[in-house]
Amino acid sequence: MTGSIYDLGYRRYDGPRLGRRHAVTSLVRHSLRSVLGLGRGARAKTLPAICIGMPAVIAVLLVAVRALAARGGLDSSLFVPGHEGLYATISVFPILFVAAQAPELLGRDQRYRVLTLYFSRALRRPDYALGKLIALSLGVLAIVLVPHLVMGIGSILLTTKTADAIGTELGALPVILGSSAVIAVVASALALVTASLTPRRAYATAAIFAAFIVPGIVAAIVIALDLGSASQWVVLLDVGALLDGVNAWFFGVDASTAAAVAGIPTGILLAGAVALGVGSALALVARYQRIPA
Amino acid sequence: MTAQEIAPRDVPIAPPDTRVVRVESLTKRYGAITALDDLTLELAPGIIGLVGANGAGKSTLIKILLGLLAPTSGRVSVLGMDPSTDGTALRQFVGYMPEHNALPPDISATELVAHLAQLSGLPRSAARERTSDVLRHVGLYEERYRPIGGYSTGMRQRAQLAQALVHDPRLLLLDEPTNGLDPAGRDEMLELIRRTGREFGITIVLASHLLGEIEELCDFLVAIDGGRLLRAAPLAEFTTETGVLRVEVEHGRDDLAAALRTRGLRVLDNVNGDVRSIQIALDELEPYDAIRDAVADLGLPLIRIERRRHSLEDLFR
Repeated sequence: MTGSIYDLGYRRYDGPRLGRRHAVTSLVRHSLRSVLGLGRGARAKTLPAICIGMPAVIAVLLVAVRALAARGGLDSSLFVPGHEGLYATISVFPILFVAAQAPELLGRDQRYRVLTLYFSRALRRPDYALGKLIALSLGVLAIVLVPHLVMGIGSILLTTKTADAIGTELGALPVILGSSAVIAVVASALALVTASLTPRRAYATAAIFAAFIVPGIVAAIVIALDLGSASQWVVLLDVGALLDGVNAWFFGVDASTAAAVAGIPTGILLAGAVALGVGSALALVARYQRIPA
Repeated sequence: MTAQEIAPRDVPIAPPDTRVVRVESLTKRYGAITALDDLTLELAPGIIGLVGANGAGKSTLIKILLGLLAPTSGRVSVLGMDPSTDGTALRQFVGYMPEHNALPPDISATELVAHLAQLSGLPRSAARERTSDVLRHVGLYEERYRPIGGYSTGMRQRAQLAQALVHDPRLLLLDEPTNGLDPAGRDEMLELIRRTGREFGITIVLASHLLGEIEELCDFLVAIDGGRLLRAAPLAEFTTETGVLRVEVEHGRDDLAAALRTRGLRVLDNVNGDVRSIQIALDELEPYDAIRDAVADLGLPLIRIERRRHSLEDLFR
């Protein structure tokens, strides 16, 4: 301690300096807390709570319907979706979440020039961009995974053959994790690169909704006009159809959207989604290489 | 050239990082604009003033030292590291206060500074501890949990200084730290900087376009203009005495000048447009008796007789 008598504040620091890796981990943790509204006021918690809570409620309802059907001796699998159909019932929430939180995650640092303070520390510009992508992806992952978890626990509790049910659910885990992870990263990357184009929050949110919805509408119109078989490929523009295709590919079922009508294989949809995710992530990094700070 | 090269091998004259900053033939161009032109510079520990008009290249130099900008050509070493290749490692030991306000309004100083401390490599618990220490050091302890949006300009500047200091840097780069402050706030900020440099031995590079501000604070001064080095020297050399004596009177300056000329003194043309003083060259005999006699004969109200010093402003003439 070398502080003088009237200044008890400043001391030298001789402890560890943990470097770039620690810096990036800290950025991810801080950003994840911020997208989930943790440590923020009640208003900041509302939307994350809805986006994570509603899919869980939907999963509880599905489990409840299945339990009632079983009591009535009906085979509920015909009309109540299992893990493979769960994503289609909750797919609006990830989009709502990224549209609201991606601008929050990037806009403030741009608007108030806080980036200067970030880039003068133990991380590089791409670290910042990728750290934000990881944080938002983890948020989306929570939205997509929680209902699967609820459904899995429900399935185990509903049956008398507990051991078999646990085996089935654990067997489904890699598919659930793989599908959810790809969906989370692709949706987050597209939302973040869109948000990085403007520091204005309202514009960014509108732009993200447009990026997720408008190409789908265009695709639907083109398909409805029935301009010939080649025009079916326009489905690849539909982000919703791509994410649904990711889910379908992992679970080995048919796509549930226009893509199924168009007869495009789920493998192609998965490839399209991965290309979109990688392209968006690279564009995001490139944007942060150039952004003034 | 340096002490190490001359000294016998087994006599360590100085540790290898005696020079905090070494810059060799540094040039930075933005397209056709040359921001820094063949700059060569060595800085030893201390408080170093970096003076120059707006646009002289001060901010560019600071950003290159941080590794935020790559030089067009030339070599740079900061704390023995190369900022363009070891940037992330180096920045753990460097604090930076930008010239513009860079604080988000919606979070508290504590939350922001603790977060930034971790991004500088500090473990979480150390970051929290040092955040509260450093906010007390800059005088923001009472307000530390309030959102920054409600801070005055002076408080914001202190919060910006706190984030630059929280990881206990070896080198602190301050870009116009008194920007936008009123005179009282400016004095407080300069006193805070002086204490930080003097009492804790942190080397500070203090960029300013206000020469007078820097003068009181610095050991060493670097003056740049249009991207070129004007002069780099200890402060004392900038303000050495000149061979000119200044005599100031309440009135009757022209009469005094004529009287001194008749007594054989060389009265210089007054370049400053100063109507109350005359300047006398100190080249020949001691003029003090002649001045005293001339002033007494004319009955003039004498204000002062002083040796003129080089002023910092002379640099930019």
